[in-house]
Amino acid sequence: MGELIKGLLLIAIGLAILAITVLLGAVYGAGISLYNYAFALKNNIKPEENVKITKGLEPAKKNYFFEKGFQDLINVINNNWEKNIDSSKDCFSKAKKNNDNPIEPIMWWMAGISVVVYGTIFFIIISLFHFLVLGGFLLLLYLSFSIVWFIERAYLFFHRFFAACPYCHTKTTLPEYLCDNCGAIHKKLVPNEYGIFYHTCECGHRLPSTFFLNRGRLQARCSNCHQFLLREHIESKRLFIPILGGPSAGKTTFMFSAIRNLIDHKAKDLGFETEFIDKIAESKYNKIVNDLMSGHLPLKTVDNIPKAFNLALKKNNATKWLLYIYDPAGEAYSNADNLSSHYYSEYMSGMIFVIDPFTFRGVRQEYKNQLKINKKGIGPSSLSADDALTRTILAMEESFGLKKTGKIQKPLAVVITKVDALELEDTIGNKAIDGSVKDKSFAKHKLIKKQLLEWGEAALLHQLESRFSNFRFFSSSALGRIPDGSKKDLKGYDVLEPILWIASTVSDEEFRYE
Amino acid sequence: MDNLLTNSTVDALQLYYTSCENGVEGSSGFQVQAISDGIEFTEREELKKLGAYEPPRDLPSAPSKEDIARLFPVAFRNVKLHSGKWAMTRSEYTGLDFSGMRYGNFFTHGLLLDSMGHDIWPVDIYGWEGWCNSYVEGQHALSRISIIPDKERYSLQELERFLNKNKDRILLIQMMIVAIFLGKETSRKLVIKEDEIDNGLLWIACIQKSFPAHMQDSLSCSSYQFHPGTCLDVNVIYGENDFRLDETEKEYQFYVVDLVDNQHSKIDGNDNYYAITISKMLYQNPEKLNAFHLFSSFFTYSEIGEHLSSMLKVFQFIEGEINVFEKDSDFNRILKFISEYTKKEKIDYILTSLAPAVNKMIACGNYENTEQFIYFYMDFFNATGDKAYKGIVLEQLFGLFNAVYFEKKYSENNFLVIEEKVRSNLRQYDQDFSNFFLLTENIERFKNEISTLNGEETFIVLARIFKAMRLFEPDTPLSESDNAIELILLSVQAQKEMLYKFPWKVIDLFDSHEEKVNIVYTIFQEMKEITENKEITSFDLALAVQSLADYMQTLFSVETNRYYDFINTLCGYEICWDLVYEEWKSRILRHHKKLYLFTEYQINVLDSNSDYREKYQTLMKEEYWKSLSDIEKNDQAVSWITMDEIKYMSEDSFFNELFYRANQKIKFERDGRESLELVKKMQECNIQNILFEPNKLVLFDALFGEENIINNSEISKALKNIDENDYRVFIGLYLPNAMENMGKYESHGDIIKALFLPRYKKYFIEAYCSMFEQNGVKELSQTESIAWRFWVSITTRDENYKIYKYIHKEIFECLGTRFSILPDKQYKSIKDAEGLSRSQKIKLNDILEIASSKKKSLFNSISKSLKKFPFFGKTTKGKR
Repeated sequence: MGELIKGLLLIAIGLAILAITVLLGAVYGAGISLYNYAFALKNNIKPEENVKITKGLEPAKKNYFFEKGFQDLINVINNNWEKNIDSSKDCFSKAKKNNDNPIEPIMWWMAGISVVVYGTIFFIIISLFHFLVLGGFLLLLYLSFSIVWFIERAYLFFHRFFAACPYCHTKTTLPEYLCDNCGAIHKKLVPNEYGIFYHTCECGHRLPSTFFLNRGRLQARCSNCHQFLLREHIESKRLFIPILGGPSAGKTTFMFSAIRNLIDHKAKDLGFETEFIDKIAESKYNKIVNDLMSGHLPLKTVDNIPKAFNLALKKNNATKWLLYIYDPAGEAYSNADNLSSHYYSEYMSGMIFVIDPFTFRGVRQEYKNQLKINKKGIGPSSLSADDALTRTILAMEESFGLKKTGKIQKPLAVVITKVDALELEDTIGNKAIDGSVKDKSFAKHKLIKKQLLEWGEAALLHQLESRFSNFRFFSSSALGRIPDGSKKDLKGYDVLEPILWIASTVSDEEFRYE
Repeated sequence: MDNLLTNSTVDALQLYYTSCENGVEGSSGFQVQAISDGIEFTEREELKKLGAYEPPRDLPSAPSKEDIARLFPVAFRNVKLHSGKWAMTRSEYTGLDFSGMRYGNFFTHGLLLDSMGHDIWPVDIYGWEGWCNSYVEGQHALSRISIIPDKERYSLQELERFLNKNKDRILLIQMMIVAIFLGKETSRKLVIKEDEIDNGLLWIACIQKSFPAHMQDSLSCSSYQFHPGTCLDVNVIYGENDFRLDETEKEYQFYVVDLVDNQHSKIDGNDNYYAITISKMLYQNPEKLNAFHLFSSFFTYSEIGEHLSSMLKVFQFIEGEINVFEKDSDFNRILKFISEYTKKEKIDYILTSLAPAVNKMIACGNYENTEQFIYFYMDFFNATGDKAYKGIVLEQLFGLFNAVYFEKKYSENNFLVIEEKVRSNLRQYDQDFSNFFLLTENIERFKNEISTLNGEETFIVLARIFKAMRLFEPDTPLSESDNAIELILLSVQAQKEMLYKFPWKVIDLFDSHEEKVNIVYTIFQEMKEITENKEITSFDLALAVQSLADYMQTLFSVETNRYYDFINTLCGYEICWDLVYEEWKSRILRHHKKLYLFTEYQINVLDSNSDYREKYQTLMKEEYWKSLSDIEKNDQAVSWITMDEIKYMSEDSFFNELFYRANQKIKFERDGRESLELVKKMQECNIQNILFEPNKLVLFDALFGEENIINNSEISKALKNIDENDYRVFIGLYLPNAMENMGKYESHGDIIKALFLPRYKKYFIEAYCSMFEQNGVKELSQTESIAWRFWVSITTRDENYKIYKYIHKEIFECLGTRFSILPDKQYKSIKDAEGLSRSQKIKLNDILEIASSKKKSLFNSISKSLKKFPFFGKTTKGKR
């Protein structure tokens, strides 16, 4: 009996030793597999080493959690797996070598098996955890930049900030930005996978990726024509006013006379200070105004798509509004295809349609004899107002996807120019309006409307009424007199009202129109 | 290179664009006033866009005609349209429009060309005399016209003059060319700000002519530009316009060369080679540039891009202006360029033009790019099968071969690597390459220059030549080729200063054994001759012979049969005996089985009764003997004595040494036939005068001789200097017999004295004691009785007392052991022996005590053994 107990005791001790050995081996193996994972982590997690920037994509470094993090994870997995295999092989080889001591080989065998088993388990658990951490961060970042992006978009939308190229007139929410260190072009400098608040350029320079962090300080360029944009072309409230009309309708003269009037007089009345945002515009303005002042007409506009003329309207040294006004060459109206490339229609505040009254058959008939004498000075347009408007509407239909019977909602100021010529001032000018009327502008509108019918332009009137929900007639003289070759100042009148009327439809408070 | 430029004409459709009252577009204002049939709407619109003109803002608003002619720049523009046609315009400011009230009008004459012509630059058309600047009212149709370009107005010579007017202009044009290259990558256009309206066109002409005519597709130009938005690749601006040219524009939007304010953009390309080289040509060597333009037409490459510098380098390389390419990558790019872009019909011209340049390059010692060239031509050969390219490959390889061995400027390893690659790619490479070696001029060159080669190089060159000879005349033995023999002799002559370093392995280049003998004979004869002519000393010759002999060791190291054939043939030439003898000496020295070799040589060479044997046999034996080690000498001595070879030997010392060594080899074995035969042979010889120590002959005789009458003193002498092993064997055999055969006890001591050697005491005692073990346990033999009586009788007065005393303890022990196993009766008789003196009884008692103690120990050991058995164990236990 005693021997039986002895024997059982011996078996129990043996089993205990075996169990301890197995446990030791297992613990060792588990430790090794943990160490291997830690080693793999240390060797492969390198956020500072960014992935190669792919040519043709954004020249910036992607956020660690969007690409490199997962690459690192794959590297960690590979490295850890290799290390585990090496470690287990090492344990097995030690097990084979240690033959003197019967306990040690068992321990090494167990350690080897344990490295494989625990290594795999740890590998799965930790990799999963690693993946979840990365995924969590990715999700968090995605959410963060989406929020920032959304807030920025909302802010820009609310303030009506977007990029409108003064050269090609393309509207984009986001222009391309140049790195102020190396000049690399960043096409998506917004909160995204390259960074929430900042993007790191391939040159290593940090660039603000949101409006709120003064992204506007960077040089921007149009993503369509690649011309450089000024900050005001993106981050300002603008009055987009194209001046339309047939050739020799007096669009350029009208535009510069109006601007001259605004700069010299009206801006002050409205409480604005004016400033040219670039020297080229100033130079052009000065040249044309000097020409007008010395009795010369501005040079003929050549470009079908000319650069817009920008004038900043400031209050307390801050740009409140940017006047974005331009006149395509009248020749553009000779073909509707020319007009369809005018992208302004997407975002314009309103349009000014300049009509040379001498294109009206009724007027030409009425002043037949005088016209013969003053033809050179008056320079009547060769394209009828009706045709010019038709082509404009066709272009609008194409741009807006407007139906053939649909109405254009944007305000249209129809300006009958050259009222200084012959006796038109008496017919449709200020002189023809009863001085006691309160709303002179509306009175003029009604007067001109009536007169157009008299001149036989019912078709034009019908077209305006049927296709424009908000239009108003104006009369003006861009030159103030018929040019006769003398060096006397050509100073227009009643030229600013159409612009102010359109502006008032955008902001009635700031542009009081009476 | 022939000048292929021709005075070709180009056909064009026309268009007038201006502000007019009546044009083809149906209204007044800017419009197309007149147009040729065939111009598409989009082409018309593009021509209009291209021809738009705005005057500089700072010019008068209402200029007179004179002002216009003087101040307003004419704008020439050219661009390749999407349709593939060329649009060219000439725009001129005209001031007032048709109304007579409005300024800003211009007149554009536009041309639409189907193609430009391979030798016409746009600027040549700028100079055409047929440009219009006004229209005919009412005429709206224009005809297709044929344009004769004016190549003189902006000829390269004119441009050279323009650039030479100001030394800075070369740098400026260089900068502009770099900007053009950079612009292709960055989309930044070149803007040249000028203040002289004539210069703009000249700059444009310089830029255009910096690039070949067929590359103008990607180089649109505007000799006057107002709007940045409609910029072309190259733009000249004057006065005030819509370009801001501020820092941002200069840094990021345009490459600005501002010749008014001298504030240029930073223009720095990675590879400015093309710009630098072409600007130099423009500045200094327009003819060369013209040649380059022509050269460029051989390629299909028509972009302004990275390959242009490759094209230029190829041109310069062929022209001999450069003969090395600095970087491998650069060079590879050039070869790739040739492969990819050379027109099919010109490839032959390019490659054959390139080949002399490459050869020249090799000849000049520039080998850096040869490898690539060789592979390059090889690839072309493999692709086209044109043998001319193979010829170029082989020629270049041959050039490299010369560079390696004769000029010593190229790595042999590199050459071998290249050759191996070529060999694996070209069929019959070896045969083709061998052609070059057999060309008379090359053979002559080898003959002339072989003196410049060292031994190893000589071998390689000769090996190549011989290989070539064998390939072409496989049936003619090399040794019959005068050229081969002459080259070998020239090599010997060339190497005479250090003939011992001659590459003897050239002998192995000859196939048959006869040829080899012949060539060795020829070489040896030449060596002798130059020694006789005192061109080298006898010592030099000896060194050379030694070196040749050494080589011959290796020549037939495996095929021994061929070796003896070779040696025997060589022995046929008396002049070669020295060599054969030297070879033998060298061979025997090196051979580790000398005895075998000597015997084999004896059989194969010396056994025939030749004169050579007569002269050299004794010498060879002596030399052989000297070469042997001590052990080998012993063996050889036994061999010669037993084979009766000693009779040929006369020299005493050698003779004595032989016997002395043979004596060493005698072994004391009863059945040892070898020793018996040797002893017999030695005894037959006259060797009385030879002093052997030990004299194994005597000892052998004492042991195994028939008479056995050798006295003790002779044996004692013969034992002198005997080694341990021999003594052990000898004493073990001899002593018991000697004791058996002695007559009276006094002789016992004499034998001990004669045979005992103190240093081998152990073996003596062993031999002595063995005598007591032969009779078992019975009665003592007579010899044993004599022995114990001898040992109890020794006294200090004995002559050999010291010896006895030295060994008596061991002997007593031995005797005691013997007594202990005697029967009791016998034991008692010894104990009670009579006639013994007191001292003798004491010694006897000592022995008996030993015996008694031995007996006890014997009893004990027996009883212990018995106790192991149970029966005896129990009994013992019971008794107790």
